[in-house]
Amino acid sequence: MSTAGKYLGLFLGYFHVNAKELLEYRVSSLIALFGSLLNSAIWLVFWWVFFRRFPNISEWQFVHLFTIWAVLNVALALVSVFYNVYKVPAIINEGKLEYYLVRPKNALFHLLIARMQLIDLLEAAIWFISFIILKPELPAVILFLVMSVISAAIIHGFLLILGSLGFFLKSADGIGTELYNALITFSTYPNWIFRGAAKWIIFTVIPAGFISYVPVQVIYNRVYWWILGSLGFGIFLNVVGCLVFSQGLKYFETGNTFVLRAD
Amino acid sequence: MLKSMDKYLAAAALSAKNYLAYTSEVIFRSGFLVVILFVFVNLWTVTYSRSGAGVIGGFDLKQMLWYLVFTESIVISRPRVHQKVEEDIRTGAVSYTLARPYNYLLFQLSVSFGERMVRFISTLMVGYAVMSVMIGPYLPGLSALPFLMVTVALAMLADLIGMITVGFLAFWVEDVSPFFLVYSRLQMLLGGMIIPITLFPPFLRRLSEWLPFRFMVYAPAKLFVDCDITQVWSLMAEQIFICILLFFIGMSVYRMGVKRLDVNGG
Repeated sequence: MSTAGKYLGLFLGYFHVNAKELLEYRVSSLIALFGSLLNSAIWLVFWWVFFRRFPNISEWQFVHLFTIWAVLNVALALVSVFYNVYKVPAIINEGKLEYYLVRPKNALFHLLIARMQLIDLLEAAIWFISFIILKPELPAVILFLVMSVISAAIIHGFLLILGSLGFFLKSADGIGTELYNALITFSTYPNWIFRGAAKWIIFTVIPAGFISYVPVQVIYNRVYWWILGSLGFGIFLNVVGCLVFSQGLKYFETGNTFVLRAD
Repeated sequence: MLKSMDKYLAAAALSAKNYLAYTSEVIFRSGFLVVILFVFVNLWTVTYSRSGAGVIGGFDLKQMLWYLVFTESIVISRPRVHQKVEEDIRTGAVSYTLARPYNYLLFQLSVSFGERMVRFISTLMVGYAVMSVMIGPYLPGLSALPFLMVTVALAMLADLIGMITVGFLAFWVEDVSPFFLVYSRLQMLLGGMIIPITLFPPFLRRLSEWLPFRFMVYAPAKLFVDCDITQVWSLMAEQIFICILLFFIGMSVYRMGVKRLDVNGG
């Protein structure tokens, strides 16, 4: 079997195990799904009230806000397939990395796919169907999917860089959580509210602009060059993340904690 | 009556004293508050400027932003008392409290109230500092200050009784988190945490007026920025009524739950 085939086999194996786990704990997973949808619904009511009160505040309407929420949630669901990307600092600090290092597959790939939160894919399906109902046009639906995948790559790369800092900084978990929360918060607001330095920050340090402004530009205004721009940025973040991780591995010294199986 | 309240006041004071040790941690972990206030400043500054309105829903720009500092501080300072109650019921620890000379609801209320006051003041200090840097400082009218303190205390008491009541549902279900989620999200929207209820369309506003959440968040925050003490007596009376009503609902749920309590082992 080719190398790619072996990695695909490993991925499918973990997918199968995580799907079985989901079925085992389906009630708590459905409760988590309900919670996530309720939270989004409350924010969407806020935006509905806002745009009802200020309909001419910008060229954006409620439908644009709904789109960025849908893109973000589908993207987050895709990132959940590599759920351990959220837990890299904890895996490093708690002595769980060694398990992956002694396995014959690439440690980073193995680590990332070992834990999946597959219930989020059901949430992604709900958001996707909602978007189709909102905008039943084939080009818009295809662009929505493309931008969701690219947004997922950007979020994944961002998390990988922050997580890999765990090799160098003891407080990487806390810093990472704060920056991730900032990314998600900025991603759920229209870009036109930000001025001055904030406009630059959301396209660099906290790349929320790629998850909110860019999808709207591509889906509604058909500014196609943004697809290449954000795809390039997503690849760049992931490459940097892999580099930081591999540099961190060189720096890494194992502790005396011994964990037999760690997801 | 007052003497029997001594133990609850002592519990609240002790809890506040304990939590004072964690004040610096609360302050340093306020990253989310800073981010959300930064976003709100941007959102509402643009909204006021583009709409050309000086006053929206009874708030000018400064009042709107300070209102949001206050609502965020009230909600973020909430301790997880519903989880404590749930744990007591699930582990059977609640059975030990039955023989003790205190009311379980009032005891949990006192402990969580003490903690919440410390958390609220710490969070408000961070919010105040951040907003002062962004838009300049604000001082509420001194005459309104005593009323504000009472209103905030009553708002927190009502909210904590609501949370404890949600925790009592653990007598029937394994996990109360979905119920708390509904409670907290309704409070977030209909309580006026993210937007004042005066901006709601009529049907949402009516719904908000029928529910107790606005007394927990909107009312004290509005008093903070408005300092209009002409309505304050009726507001406090309404808040006391809500507290008493929620207390009786909570106690009824507790009594029903205790009747079906079945603890194994010791």
